Amino acid sequence: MKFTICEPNQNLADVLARNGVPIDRRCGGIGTCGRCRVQLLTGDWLNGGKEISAPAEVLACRTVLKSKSGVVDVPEESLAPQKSSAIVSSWNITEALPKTKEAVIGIDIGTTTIAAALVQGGEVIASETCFNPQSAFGDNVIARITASKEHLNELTWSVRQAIAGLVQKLGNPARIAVAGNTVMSCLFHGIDPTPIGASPFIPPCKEFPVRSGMELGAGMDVPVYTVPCISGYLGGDITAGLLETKPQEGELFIDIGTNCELVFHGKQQFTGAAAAAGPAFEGAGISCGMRAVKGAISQYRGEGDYTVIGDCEPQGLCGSAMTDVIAEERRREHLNDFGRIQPHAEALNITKDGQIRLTEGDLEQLLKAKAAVYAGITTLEEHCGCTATTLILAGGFARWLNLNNAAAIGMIPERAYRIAGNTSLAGAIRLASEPEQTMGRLLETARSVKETPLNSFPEFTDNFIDALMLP
Amino acid sequence: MTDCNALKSAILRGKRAEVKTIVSAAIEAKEDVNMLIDQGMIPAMSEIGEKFSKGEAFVPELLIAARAMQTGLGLLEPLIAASGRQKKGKVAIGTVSGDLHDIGKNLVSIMLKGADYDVIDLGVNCDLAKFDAAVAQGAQIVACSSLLTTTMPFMKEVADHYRGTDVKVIIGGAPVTQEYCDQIGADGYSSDANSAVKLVDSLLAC
Repeated sequence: MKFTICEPNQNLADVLARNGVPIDRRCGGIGTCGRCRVQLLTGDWLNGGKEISAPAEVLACRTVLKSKSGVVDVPEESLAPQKSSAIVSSWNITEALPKTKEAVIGIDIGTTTIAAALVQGGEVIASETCFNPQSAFGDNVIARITASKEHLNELTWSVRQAIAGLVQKLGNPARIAVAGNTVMSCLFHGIDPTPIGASPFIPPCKEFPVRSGMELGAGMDVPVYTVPCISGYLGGDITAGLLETKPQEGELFIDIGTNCELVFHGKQQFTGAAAAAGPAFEGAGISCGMRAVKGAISQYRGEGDYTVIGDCEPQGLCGSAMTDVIAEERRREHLNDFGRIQPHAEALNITKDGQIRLTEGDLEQLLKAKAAVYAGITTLEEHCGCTATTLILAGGFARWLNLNNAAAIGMIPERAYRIAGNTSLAGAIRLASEPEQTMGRLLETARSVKETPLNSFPEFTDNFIDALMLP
Repeated sequence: MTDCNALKSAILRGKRAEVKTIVSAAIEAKEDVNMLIDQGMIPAMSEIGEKFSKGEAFVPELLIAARAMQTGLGLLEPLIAASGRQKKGKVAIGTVSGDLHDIGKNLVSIMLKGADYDVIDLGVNCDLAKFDAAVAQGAQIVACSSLLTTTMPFMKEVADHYRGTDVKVIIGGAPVTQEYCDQIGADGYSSDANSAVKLVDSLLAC
């Protein structure tokens, strides 16, 4: 797509975004991810402070127009992905949703995907999902925090607009409630999340006021409630998850994602922690990686033997299939302890033609990610002085995961497992259904969790290094 | 007499217990600590570093070997200090203010030790005062690590702070790039622990 730019001295990525071109700024527009590559066709420009003239290939976020106008060609791969995961409104909760007379809407504001459901009489009437438009500013919460320095209003406005769109599609609710991680919750309320980005990571707000739908751009004057957060990295999605799954003593609640959140009901108390696993299992930084959307290989049983989401031509691998590949190829002795391919080869072919494959570099990234999850669990167990009997797995990643394979590659320890689904959305629905009663329980839940900084323990590094190897 | 090849092999295989046994026995027998370092540890780390730069070893192998070497080096450190061993140079390293991630930083620290540098490891959440204290102890290079894009800007403060002095500032960490290094005017960037050693070698050679 070609665009004529007539706004000199302004950041090209900003100009494009303002004009409705969803340029991919997943690093937060700081020039590190290399995703916003564009062709300058005419004009004089400044790139990284150096003068350059068209034609040239540059990163839009590092480029400023110097001449009066210039033409730029934005390739499709430099746009933020718009596809969202298919089914996100399903859960396995311990207590039925309240049977309300009126319809209410619960919303899970995920960093990547927003899911909303209209519920009446305890039954889901309709559900909708969309991509979180903030993704154009970065694919993880840290990038969003970085972007909020200059783009707080846009971040707030874009997520409210997306939510308004979902609400309009679903119909007229009597009440709305949202749940999201702490950064998503702050941005939704227009609160600067910057303090969460650096030690001591104290959130500017953990408990949010009730607002009107008019104020939040939902276009209707109904009350909007927000699930309270626990800490900077344990958000309302986790509070909701704990209320919905009610971990008993010995049970460990875990949501595996770019950030892995853990809450262990150890000896008489709840201890929570977050561990950065990185985005490898979400497809980022993996040569043929992609999210669990249509066209992704979601299960793998051996070279050329796999299942594709949407039953179409495979375009790449999502995290659950990456886990399968490592487990299956390790069983066949094609991978050694360090995840190196045996006999030596550059990559493992997933499709027979080798179009989709995992390289040794990809395997390294995946080993680091799975080791962070495993080290998070074992370090938290050691800290609490007891071993979990059951892992309660919440969130989207666990839905597709083959748990035997996840245990076989040393991502999670062998325990009893409970798949919880999108408990963040279930909790938001409960809050919208019975606001007063549920808010009290959510606040009690959030305040009952004691957070512990896992990576300040020397054992964490040791456990991480041990977990890097394949069992 | 210690078998330095056995020590090297134990390090490369990440066998901490073996390393501990070999080094403890050598200390017991009052052997020359320099020999253990020069013929066991340094060759082990340079071999794994070489493999890493050729793409034959990855971070997991590097971490596992580095941890094993650190086990042995930890036992030797009091003796090294007493022996008055001449190191190649002195480097201060720390994760920048606001950031608590240290696995990558620790790896660089161990690789530098394994390349015979005197390393002052300042830990995490380092402000300028911590780096200054290390410089006062003779650090010629200040190495900064950051894992968060939110804490990266502190590297610019460090680079600005030492500009115009003899102290060189080098930076690294997952979100850091050569371009960012140029942008903030730091003296060097490396993308991994092995090239960090080469970077320090080149900065101190001139």
